[in-house]
Amino acid sequence: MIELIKKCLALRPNIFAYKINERKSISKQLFYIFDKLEMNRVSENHEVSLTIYMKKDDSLGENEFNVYPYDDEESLLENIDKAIANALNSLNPYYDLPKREEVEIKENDDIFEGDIEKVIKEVIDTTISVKDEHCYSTATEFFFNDSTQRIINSFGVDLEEHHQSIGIELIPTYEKDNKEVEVYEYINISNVDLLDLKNKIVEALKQAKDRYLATPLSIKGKVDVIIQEAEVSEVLSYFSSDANYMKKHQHTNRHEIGDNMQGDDVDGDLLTINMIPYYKGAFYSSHFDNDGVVLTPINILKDGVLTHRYGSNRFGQYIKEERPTGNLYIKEVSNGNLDISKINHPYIRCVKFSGIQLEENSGFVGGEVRLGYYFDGEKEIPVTGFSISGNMNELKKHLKLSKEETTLKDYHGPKYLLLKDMEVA
Amino acid sequence: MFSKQLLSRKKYCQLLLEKLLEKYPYASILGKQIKGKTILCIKDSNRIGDTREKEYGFVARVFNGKNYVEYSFVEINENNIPELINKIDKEANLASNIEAKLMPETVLNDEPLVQDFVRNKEGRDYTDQEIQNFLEEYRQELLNYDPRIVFAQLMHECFEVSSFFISRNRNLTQNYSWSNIMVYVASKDENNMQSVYQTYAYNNLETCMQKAKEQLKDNAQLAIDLLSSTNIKPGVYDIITAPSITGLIAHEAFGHGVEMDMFVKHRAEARKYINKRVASKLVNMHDGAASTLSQASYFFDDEGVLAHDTLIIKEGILLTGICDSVSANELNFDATGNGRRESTQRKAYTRMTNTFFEPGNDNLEDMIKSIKHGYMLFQTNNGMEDPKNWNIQCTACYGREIKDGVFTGKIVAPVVMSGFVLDLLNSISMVSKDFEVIGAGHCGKGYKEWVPVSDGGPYLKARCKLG
Repeated sequence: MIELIKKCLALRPNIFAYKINERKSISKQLFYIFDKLEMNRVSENHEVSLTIYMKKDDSLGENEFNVYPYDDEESLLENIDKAIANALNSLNPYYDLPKREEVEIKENDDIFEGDIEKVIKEVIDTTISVKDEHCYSTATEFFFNDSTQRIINSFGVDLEEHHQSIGIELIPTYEKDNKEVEVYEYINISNVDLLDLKNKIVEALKQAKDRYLATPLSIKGKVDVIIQEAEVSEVLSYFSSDANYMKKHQHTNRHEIGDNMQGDDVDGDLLTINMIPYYKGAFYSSHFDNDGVVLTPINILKDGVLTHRYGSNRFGQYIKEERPTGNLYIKEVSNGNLDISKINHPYIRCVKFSGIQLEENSGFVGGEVRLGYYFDGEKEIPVTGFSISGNMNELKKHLKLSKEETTLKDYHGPKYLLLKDMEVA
Repeated sequence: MFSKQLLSRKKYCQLLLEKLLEKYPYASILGKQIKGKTILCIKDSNRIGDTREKEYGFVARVFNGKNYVEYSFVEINENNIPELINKIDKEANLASNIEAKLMPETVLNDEPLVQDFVRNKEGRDYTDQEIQNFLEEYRQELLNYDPRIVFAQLMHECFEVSSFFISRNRNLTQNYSWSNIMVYVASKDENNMQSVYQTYAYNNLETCMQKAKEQLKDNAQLAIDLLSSTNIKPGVYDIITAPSITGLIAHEAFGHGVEMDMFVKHRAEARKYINKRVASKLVNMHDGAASTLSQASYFFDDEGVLAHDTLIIKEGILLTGICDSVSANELNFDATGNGRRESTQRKAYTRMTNTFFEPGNDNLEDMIKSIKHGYMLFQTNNGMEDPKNWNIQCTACYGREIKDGVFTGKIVAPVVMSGFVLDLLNSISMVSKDFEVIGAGHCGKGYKEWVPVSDGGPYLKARCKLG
């Protein structure tokens, strides 16, 4: 298909530039109810999109469309001509497209080791074997994914990267005496470590049991809240998203370079955040972005001060960045000193939310908590059925980051984050 | 018009189906293409491109006598049918290769039906230039409304769905379309920053534009008003829900709980409440691709089952749920036309379509006057389901305070609704005559499997914990 596209493009020399994005993927999917297979399926996909760029004076227009297996030279030329017209009808300020750059793309180990059925059996057997009379996953879905992404443009960019991953969605459930509760868990794996997987599932089932044992939270008012894992990444995006080139360009940024993003009178930890392309175990790791920009890491926040911005090639040029970083997705956050075991005043450690919400514009952060642990000064007690709320404009001054680290799909850094005096209802 | 490219592949799918039916007691093939356009009007990023809903692909489903197996692919032609059969056969053997224990399954219902369905787009056609001009003028009017409005973005999207479903006894095609306009406005002052998001979705672009135009000043003024919004003091309040929030309750708080694939997985509290009271007598609730005309209206689902109008709650009594084919088989129930896929790359689950409460007999003015201290809640922000334990998490973008039957002018934003679903539904004491279904949202199952949906209803008066 790439050859057909290139052949057609050669017949349209008036095109200023082009970009081809190609993604080939195979996903083996298995769906279990309790420990029984309901359905298995395979998705084989091949997606190709072509972006046409047209330059007019100081403007650049673009139009992207999918190229399908049924396209032939005639239909492709017709679509290219439509794309040329569309691009000329939606002109924007000019920016340079990415050019060829040398980059070493480290090939990851084949996590399926050439025998995917063996891996499927091992992972599934490990997962569904973790259960007891009262505690199990009611529905488990497995996704074994293998994809290759390639980007080519008319300025010599030709980059290819191969990704493999395993995704497991679990519904850990605890049932006893006619009462059942569940929690939700999604595990992303980029290398097969069956012992580590088993430990994750044991922890997930324990959380279901704790939700069963949890009592309604009786306290109201203000209390320190500790969030963990994915919620830490979500809350810290309050800072990282404001550093994006696009925000600055659209005048929706809240801070300028050099501003202290955490404000004055900070009595908590000062944040240092890097945006990076790659971290082992982070599912979003990539060497280049969808524009074909080779990604370079950058520090965006140092001790609470906004130091640099990051983002797409286009918006980087619009705000006059010398070398746009490309779209970086992984936050690397420096640790603090918080050790939960040493805290001696009350707090609530929130483990399972319905879905934490962060409104970057207003600073609102909060959500309903399905499982938390209330520390009364002596021990943690599982609690449920409450919501927390606060505002980052105040919370940011008193953040406490843990020493303990974690790695997620888009994050590496402190596992826990303490938010001071959140409202509990 | 039905996609000619998809139609050109149908004959190969029929050949593949014939081969599959020689060896499997059940086989079917879904072919689907979604085409359309997105026109985006945003500072320095104007764009005309394909619809975000775009799709092209096929799903072959077989029953091997023991379990259901699917293979989804994007290319079929006169040369690759044997290769596809080999792949399907290989996948059909996977369960025994990995020594999986299996759910007991039987052959799906495959009642004979041959029919072509078409729903034509309404209203006049517009050129891309006309649409761009409309969006750009709208955007500029928003920006000129007040210097505190710092950003505005307009988007038009239209999509056209063509799909066919073939099995031993069925041969169905459908073709339909939908349009929407989305408005996003951001405002900023020295203390605060806020945003407003509004959609206008109909089978008629002219109507989308007209409605958007009527509300231009309201959207701009709301972005300004929200700058003076404050946090709500958490507590239990009387509330009146605008149709968007009414729909959020119908969809998020209750609808997910009656998706009957959750019954199979023992994940739904609703299973214990069939034919029991779950809401006040004033409450009647529907779901269905045939219940009303909106974004999730189609003629048959992704498993070839005709669209239904399912009356889920009648006068507060839970009558039934909604169900995909495989789950219906497992439950010995009839499928309701709610088997939907995010795309042909994904499995079909029981999914909602157009979900709403019926209107009632009360006047909105009377409802407002009846509030001693409470809030009217507007505009869906987001929600999360909890089918097992029926806890609510729904967030409204903002609320307007009511005291002694009158708006005080105070706005709170955002507003998180929480509590137990049945408490909320049983507290519904007034239901307005108004009715609106909003047709431009998407729904996930857990945190994935996104499908277009709509929801709505009348204004409701109820009691709820807000924070």
